[in-house]
Amino acid sequence: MKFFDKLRHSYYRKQLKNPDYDFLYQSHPDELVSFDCETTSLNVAEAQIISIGAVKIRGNRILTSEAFEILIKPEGMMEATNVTIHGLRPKDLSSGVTIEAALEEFLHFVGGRPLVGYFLEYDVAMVNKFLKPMLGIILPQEQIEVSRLFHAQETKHKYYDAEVDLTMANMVKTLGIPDLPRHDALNDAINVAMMYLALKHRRV
Amino acid sequence: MNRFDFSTAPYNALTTRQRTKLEKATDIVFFDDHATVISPQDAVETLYIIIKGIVQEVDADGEVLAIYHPSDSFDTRALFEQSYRHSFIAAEQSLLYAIPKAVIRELIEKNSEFGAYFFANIADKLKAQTGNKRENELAGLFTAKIKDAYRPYDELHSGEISLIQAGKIMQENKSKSLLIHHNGKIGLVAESLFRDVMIQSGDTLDPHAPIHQWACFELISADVDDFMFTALLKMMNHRIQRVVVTKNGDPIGMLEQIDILAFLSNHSHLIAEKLEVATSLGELTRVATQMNATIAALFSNGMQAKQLAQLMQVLNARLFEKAWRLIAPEHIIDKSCLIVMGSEGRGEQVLKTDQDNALIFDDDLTLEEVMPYTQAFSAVLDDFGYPPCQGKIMVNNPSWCKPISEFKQMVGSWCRTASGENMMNLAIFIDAKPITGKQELFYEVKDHLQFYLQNDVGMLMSFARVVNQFNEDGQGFFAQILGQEKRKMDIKKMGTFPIVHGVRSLSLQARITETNTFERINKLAEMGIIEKQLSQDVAEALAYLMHTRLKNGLFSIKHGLEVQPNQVATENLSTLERDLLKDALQVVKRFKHMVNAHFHLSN
Repeated sequence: MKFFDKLRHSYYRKQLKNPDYDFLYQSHPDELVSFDCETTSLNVAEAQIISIGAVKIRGNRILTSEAFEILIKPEGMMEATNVTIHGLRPKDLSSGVTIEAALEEFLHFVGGRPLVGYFLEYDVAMVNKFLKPMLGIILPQEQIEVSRLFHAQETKHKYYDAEVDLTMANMVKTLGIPDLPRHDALNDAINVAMMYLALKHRRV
Repeated sequence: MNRFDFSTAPYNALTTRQRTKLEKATDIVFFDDHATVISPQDAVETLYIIIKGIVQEVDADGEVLAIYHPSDSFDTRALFEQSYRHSFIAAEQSLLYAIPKAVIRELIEKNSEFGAYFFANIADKLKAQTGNKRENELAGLFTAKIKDAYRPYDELHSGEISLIQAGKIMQENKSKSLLIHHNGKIGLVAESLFRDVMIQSGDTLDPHAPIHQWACFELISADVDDFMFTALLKMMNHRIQRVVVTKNGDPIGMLEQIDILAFLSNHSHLIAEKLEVATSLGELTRVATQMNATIAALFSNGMQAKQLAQLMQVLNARLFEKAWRLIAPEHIIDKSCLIVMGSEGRGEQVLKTDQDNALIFDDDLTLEEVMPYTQAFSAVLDDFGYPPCQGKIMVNNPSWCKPISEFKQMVGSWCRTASGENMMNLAIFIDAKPITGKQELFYEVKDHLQFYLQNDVGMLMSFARVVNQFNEDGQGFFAQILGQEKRKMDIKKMGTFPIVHGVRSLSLQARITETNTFERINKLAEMGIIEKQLSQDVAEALAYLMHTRLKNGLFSIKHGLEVQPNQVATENLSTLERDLLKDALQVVKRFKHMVNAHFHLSN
């Protein structure tokens, strides 16, 4: 962890008033969590989270049998345009829980495990947007960005032409992993988990 | 949303609820190159299904037994055992579904269709494959039994009834034939008998004389439980219109060609008819070139490769006979015997491949006299679509066109010097079948061969040893699948040849006269030489290999490719077909071990 990040984390840890959440700072060697959010917009300031999917990675195993998936009842109306992307209609979300309840369950699922994701920064920012007013903290876990790992591998032996296609489609194709139907939070999380394992064992 | 691929057997048999249960219980596991997925003696906890990558099954000696591809599962056998016997290694980086054994076991209990897949042993699995085909059979002819179409006789008439009485009975019964008994024998009175009687003894005919003096007592019969197809073959073979239907050896009725034709509106009979009436080589060529289309039609209608091969053997024999008779003058035909050998002789060749034939002639004929006709014959067969044999085992080669004394010498010399080539020649000759001409010549050579083979253990060992000749290819097959871009395997070397030759060797030792491999296997099983279960598995495996070979060959013909039916592109096979092929090859392996042990070959 970078020095500044450490500083930031210890600052926020002190802001954590509820000691029940101290488990977020416990380490789990050999385990990670791949996660993804579906949201109503790509603008963090206005977007709502409508579903969260996450899956643990233990060693070389993706624990899809213990997958985490939750639907969130949005506040206000969803924009119709996004329905076509994630396929979740307002009706589908009516059985969902509040964002606070969802995050509570999510945090218990993740614990202190490092988070793995694809353009994770956005998903983390979305979670933090709701987490901060709730508990006074932001996600403290280590974050692993698969597109960054991919970029590093792709450019390892290249001293010119460092342009790398970082689209999910290209990464899936290059790594030769199967492509689960996308824009489903859990499937995306599983896709990322498979990418992570493939990247970890890739010889470049 | 489905993450798991439920489109393939047996998972497509699961209900929605069962699918959800399976999916919820399944993990995804990643294995790096050469990583061990399962070690022998590991407790069986998991069924793996490949999402991506290749996994190989390796036995204790390090030999690769099987290769698993995406959507293949392993190790289904182990689900019913406590631990694994073999190890499973990722041949390349692989992503696998890992399903807990407990969940699979539960689904097997709850869903019988799903369970059946896991319980099926090889024979059942292979049957399930051909069983599906039956659904789209046109008239069901090839599954129809004689009992479905024969006409029962309510009574057996005395041979003492007169010609006129017999005619009246047939008129009343509106039948074209009648069965009589006379002196403890069963005789047949057919409509044509009246015509023949008229012609032969019209002037002196006594219509009140007893019918038995004209009836035919040499009857061809078929059992009521036989396939209708068998009866058809007999009629074609003997050029007759009807067979007597028997039950436990007793005649109970009659099956007429016309009864079969009611079922049979396909071309196989038409081909026989056309062969019958053809009067020139040009006409024969036209019939011969139609055969592939007929085969394709019959195959797609569910006729099995094994049956097709028998049908083709009959048709080909007629075709060859007719061609030979059109080419050679009568005195040569009468003093020689045309034989077919190898797969044609065994009745296991469907698509026209090599010409494998020979001519044995009387010692008072000379090669110079015969040669012009045998050369013409080989050329005509080429026109018919039978490519020349690469090994030149054909009548236009003086080595396979000899007077009987030289032929006997040649056969004897094969036995004395057990070289690889001699053993192959012997193998080809052992499967021979006479087609036309003076058949005694052929049987004389065969008897001569038997004399040489008597109790020559060393010779038999050399002969049987040929079964291992493609062993290296065998190990290379799995390597081929792994390494090569174009994944083709030679199923003849891998599968058909070891079975055919192993069975041939055992039959030779046991003095079995049948040439068809399936019949030989039956005989060997009856004699207790091959254990019953193994004999069934071997027969099923061979039938499946023939099926695969034919399918492959027909595919090439359809797409205008070079016909190499033995070269199977494994990537074109479905998961089930690959499974079956793997199972079949496992059987071949077991059988080869058995043959090696039987002849004390140290492999």
